[in-house]
Amino acid sequence: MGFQVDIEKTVRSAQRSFELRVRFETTARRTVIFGPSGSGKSLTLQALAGLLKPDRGRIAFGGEALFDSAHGVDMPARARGFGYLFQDYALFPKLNVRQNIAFALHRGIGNPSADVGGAAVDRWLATFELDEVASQRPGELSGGQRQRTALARALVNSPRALLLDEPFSALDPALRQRMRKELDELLKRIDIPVMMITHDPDDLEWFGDAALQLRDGTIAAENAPMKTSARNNFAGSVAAIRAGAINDEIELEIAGGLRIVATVTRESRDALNLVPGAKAFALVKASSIILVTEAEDVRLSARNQLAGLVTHINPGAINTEVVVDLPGGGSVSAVITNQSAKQLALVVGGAATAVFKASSVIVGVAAKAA
Amino acid sequence: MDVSIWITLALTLKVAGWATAINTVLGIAVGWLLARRRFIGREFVDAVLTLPLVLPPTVLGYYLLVVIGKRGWLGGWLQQSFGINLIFTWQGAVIAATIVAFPLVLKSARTAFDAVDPQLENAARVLGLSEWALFFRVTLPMAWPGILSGVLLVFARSLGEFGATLMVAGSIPGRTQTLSIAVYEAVQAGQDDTANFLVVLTSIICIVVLLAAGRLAPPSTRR
Repeated sequence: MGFQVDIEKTVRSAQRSFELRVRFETTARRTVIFGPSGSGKSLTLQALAGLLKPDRGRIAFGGEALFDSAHGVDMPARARGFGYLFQDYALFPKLNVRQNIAFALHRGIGNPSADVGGAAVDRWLATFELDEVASQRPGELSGGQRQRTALARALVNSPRALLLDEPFSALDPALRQRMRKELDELLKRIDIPVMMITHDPDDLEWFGDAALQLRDGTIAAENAPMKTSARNNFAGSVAAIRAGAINDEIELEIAGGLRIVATVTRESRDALNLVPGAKAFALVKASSIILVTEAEDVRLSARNQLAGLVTHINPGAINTEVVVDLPGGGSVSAVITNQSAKQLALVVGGAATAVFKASSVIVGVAAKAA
Repeated sequence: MDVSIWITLALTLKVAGWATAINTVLGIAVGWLLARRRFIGREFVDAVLTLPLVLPPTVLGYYLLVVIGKRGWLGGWLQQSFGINLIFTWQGAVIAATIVAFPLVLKSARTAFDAVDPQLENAARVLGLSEWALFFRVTLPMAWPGILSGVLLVFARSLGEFGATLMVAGSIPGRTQTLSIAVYEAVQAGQDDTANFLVVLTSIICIVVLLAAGRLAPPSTRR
């Protein structure tokens, strides 16, 4: 179940005219659209939800067309079946928490009563620890309670995907970190595709299985799936999969025909749709890499051993960063202690092998960028 | 005290009540259109509908006679097709009061709808509501305090309507003579007792309406 988007929209205001041209495809469980404000990411999310009509193009979810200008398809927002978390939550100010959550379950032209019940409402009140404030109005809630109410309201209808518009921007930094963790745990439980837009790089770390970078209305970073603190990001494709009892082993072929071996859980493999030939990338933290300079007659249990030539040595106060260029044109960055660097007697131009365990590799899938 | 005063009061409340009811529905509909729909001539429509606020009531009364009088294009057609005559009837008085007071509810309704956060409506759309349901469940409840203050002003204005009503409906005691017209007639006839009583009665009703407006309307600012 993924999104296929290929849309164009011109938005005119008195001051300026803004061209949105977005094309991407993603099957990742969590996709983050990342970009500065004014880059068009809100418009993109609104178009997905059916709140903004593109001038032309196509939007599909799980193969079903939601919008297709060529065939006159434009499914209204109410029929798309997505949950949407608004930036300022957009809770109904005159309804209490219970009524807000029950809103979508109640049909007709009247609002649910102040003491509306029902298993679904009670379950979400309990899940989000909102029982105690169930009869309060949004104006009386804290920022975190407001966000949880908005999430419960969006999820009560069992949506087939969840769209999140800058979910943490309204919170102060301390609460932001806590809510990221809460949301992360919740998303693991409900297990539906999630599309998030954000300008905050930290959100990428938490939620970006796949990431798209938007700038001035177009996808800016082609094939550059994410900004990450991991210094090693190898793009490649799945060359082999070996199923294990608990975890599977993925072999990723990267530039120069080199292979990277990674262990992934069965759930991750299915969620990321890792099949032979699929495009994927591997993240390895620079601090997870061990450097070996004389590898003859040494056997190591680590599955990944990439040999190359040292091109940079950047000593710091405690650690030294060493860059090793690989035969295929790529490079590996390792952070080792200054003491280790001295013991290895590293020199620029000398041979070194980067060694890391298969379990320290994080595999990701990029949303295809146009 | 003359029994006919109570008949006059009942007639006045009937005319004001109908004018208020009609204006509430029309004010909500047109106010929403002006606030939420973009169309060519939108501001011109707003200006034309606001005219009754600035035109002398006698001018409005004259326009009404031209339109719904026996030889007016609408009045003539009603007379010929259905045998309906509006001039010198209480229904004519309702039409006059409705048109004179309409700008009051229109302005309130448009402002109130403008102030409703469109994001709340979007939230309702995503949650599966039809446009009708979201109007009644989100937009109208949010705008209601503002609309209500306009509705009460309309009621007060309709109660005191004089000029246009006199021209369209005349001053037939027990049939079209409202309180404000009865005051004028009593003073003209030198019946000071009757005039005093009518003036005090009218003032009390208006104070009650204003107090009610004060109690009901502030939720928009008190929220």
